[in-house]
Amino acid sequence: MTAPSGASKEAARARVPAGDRRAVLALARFEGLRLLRHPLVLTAFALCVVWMARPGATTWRSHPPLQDMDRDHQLPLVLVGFAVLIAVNLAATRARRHGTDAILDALVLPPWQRTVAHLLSLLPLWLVGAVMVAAQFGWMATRPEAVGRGDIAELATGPTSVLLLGVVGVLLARLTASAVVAPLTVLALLTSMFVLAAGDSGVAWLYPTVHQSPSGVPTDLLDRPAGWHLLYLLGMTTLLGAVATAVAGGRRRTARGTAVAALTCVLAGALFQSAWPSGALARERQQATERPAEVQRCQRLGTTEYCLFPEFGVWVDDWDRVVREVRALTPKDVAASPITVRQRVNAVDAGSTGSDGAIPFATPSEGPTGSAWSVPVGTLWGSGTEDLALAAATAYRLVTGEAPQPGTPVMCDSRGVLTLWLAVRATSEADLNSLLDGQFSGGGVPISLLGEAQLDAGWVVLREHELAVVQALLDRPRGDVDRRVREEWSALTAPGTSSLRAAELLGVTAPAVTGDDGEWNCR
Amino acid sequence: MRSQTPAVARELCRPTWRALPWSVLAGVGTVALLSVALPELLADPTPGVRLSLLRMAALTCALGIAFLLDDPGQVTTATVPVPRLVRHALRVLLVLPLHAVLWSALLAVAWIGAGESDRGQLPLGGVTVEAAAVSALAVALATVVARRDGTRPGTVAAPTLLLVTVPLAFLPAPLALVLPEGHPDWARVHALWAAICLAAAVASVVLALTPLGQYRHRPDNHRHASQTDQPLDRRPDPGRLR
Repeated sequence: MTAPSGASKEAARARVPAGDRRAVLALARFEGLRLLRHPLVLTAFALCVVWMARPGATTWRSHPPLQDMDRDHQLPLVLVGFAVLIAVNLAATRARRHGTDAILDALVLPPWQRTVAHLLSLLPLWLVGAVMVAAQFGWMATRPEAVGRGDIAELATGPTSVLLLGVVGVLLARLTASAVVAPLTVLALLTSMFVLAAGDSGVAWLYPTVHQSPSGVPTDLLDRPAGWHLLYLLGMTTLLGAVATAVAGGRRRTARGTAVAALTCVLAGALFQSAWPSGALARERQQATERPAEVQRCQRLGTTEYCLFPEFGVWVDDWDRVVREVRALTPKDVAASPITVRQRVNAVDAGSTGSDGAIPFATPSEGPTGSAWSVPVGTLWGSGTEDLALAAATAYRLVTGEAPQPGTPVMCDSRGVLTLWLAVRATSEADLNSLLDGQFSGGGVPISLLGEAQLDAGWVVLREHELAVVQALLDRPRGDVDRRVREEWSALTAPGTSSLRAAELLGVTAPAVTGDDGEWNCR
Repeated sequence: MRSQTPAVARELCRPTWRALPWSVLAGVGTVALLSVALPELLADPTPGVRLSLLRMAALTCALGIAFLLDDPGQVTTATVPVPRLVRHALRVLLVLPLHAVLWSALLAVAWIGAGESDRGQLPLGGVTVEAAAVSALAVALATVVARRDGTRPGTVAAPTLLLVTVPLAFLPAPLALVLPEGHPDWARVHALWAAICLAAAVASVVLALTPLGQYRHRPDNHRHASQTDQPLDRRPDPGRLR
């Protein structure tokens, strides 16, 4: 209400009887229930639930990293917040729209107390949001394969964003009765949030949620200012609520004190969150990226040694299953050779853009060749592409005995055929189709060594010609090809054996090399 | 009665022009222009961001269109001897040229901002089809709401428009309607946008033509200004149903 009438102003200044608190609560309860039943809010919550529970949503991830999943709900809840902004704005301008504010002025509550009631009516929505977050995160956290730790501040951010956006709606209602202002504000916020502040600049943290963040970084290296951000959001919510009350005529000393305290919280939160990334963890991040051996622990399963960041321990059995499958397809001496599988992560420029993010797979202590080179495995698992990636990396290690060189090596020989065949045969043959989806326009197929989500971290490339040979091999009876691979292992893995020769050795016919295949810069 | 319609419609032009929700339209137009122009002036948006800004501006314009049928004086115009369709069409036709000018200005700002190098990545035609579709959708929604309450349909139509369009941006791959420039499905999706535009326009006309009594089941549903619409629209005049 822009200009409360003279009578209501006097009422606001007068000391209100204690019974008014009950009236405010009664109005808040009434408005809260109406808000919960508002079609806009109901639809938004329903869409949010559909989004979180759709098939393929992160909620159903078999191996959730909790340090990432704790902020998975934030974006959908911010969209719910936009619906709440409009709905509460409509509720708070209802009297104005229907010309009944004069009647309300004659009742017990002055405008500022009605505003307080509208602000309080948002609390049930916070509760609904919190229940949704708790249900989703609880579901993920109780999975036996869950790793990492969630942050309570990240979990509270989503519901608090709903609260903050609702308070914006009440404030707008007190500034103007126009029905276009709330939707227009939503569009302006959407534009600035998703289009302009999409990068990881300091500005992004002034919005309710920062949705673009690194995934798969170990918990201790994540370093998001979630606590300061929550303080900022809570401060902002209280401050805007106090301003809305003040605009409606509630200028008592407690309101002023609250506003000052809230402003302090906003400033402190904004200041500390803008200092992100703090740089305090720069050394630890570099260490984890370049010299992971210093922070990892190792455990041996058979002839394979797994070295991993401590919190990922429950995934070792899943990794071992894939490695065993690959080994089982090789001759006995190769299958028994000791290898090390080492978890790799690019934590140095986590979240920053403009870097190709390639990790040097052979760490300085290991060297690019020789038996010491370890097989990389990423920090994500279970989305369907990571097991193929680990199988490919293991096969590459067993076939070539080398680390992939930086600059996406192209495998144009029998070793490329063998690597891909081992990887696909050891996992699921349906994976070949998903590989083909990622085909380059020039015809080559990239095989990530850490999985799709960490695709830029390192890969090898196969030409279409080698791919055709592998396809032909997969069409043949399995036992026959398995036997021939074991028999011809040394010829197939010798450097210089062409893929045509490999096809001959394995008893399939290879297509001719095409012009596109010739354009790859084979080493 | 029908023969008098063109003459009354002509007479209605001037008062309708005055009764248009000018403050809303002006505010929305300003915000749309600023949302495209400010990033061009202050930062150098990438072609992808520029396209997103144009889309948001189109939605902003459509938000204004949703208030187009708002008519606080509906109590008086409801008694004129012209069908609802003519009164609605008059409002749309009066604003259409202004809408076209505003949209051209938005495209021009983006075109100038893009510079020589990025102009190839600015699909003006495609984004115009999307803009037309959301605007038509806004008119259709306003028409639906106006059947219940002709004084302020925008209050309900505008949030509903956002509720319908914003989730479109989050549709997963095979259903996605909002695509980056150069996407293989671009032509197919824009045929769909054109179909949405056409369907919304047809729906607006049909909804404005159908008498209010048609889908009413509750006889006690006499709320607000719709009450004033009923005596006129419920008249058994077969000519108006054609």
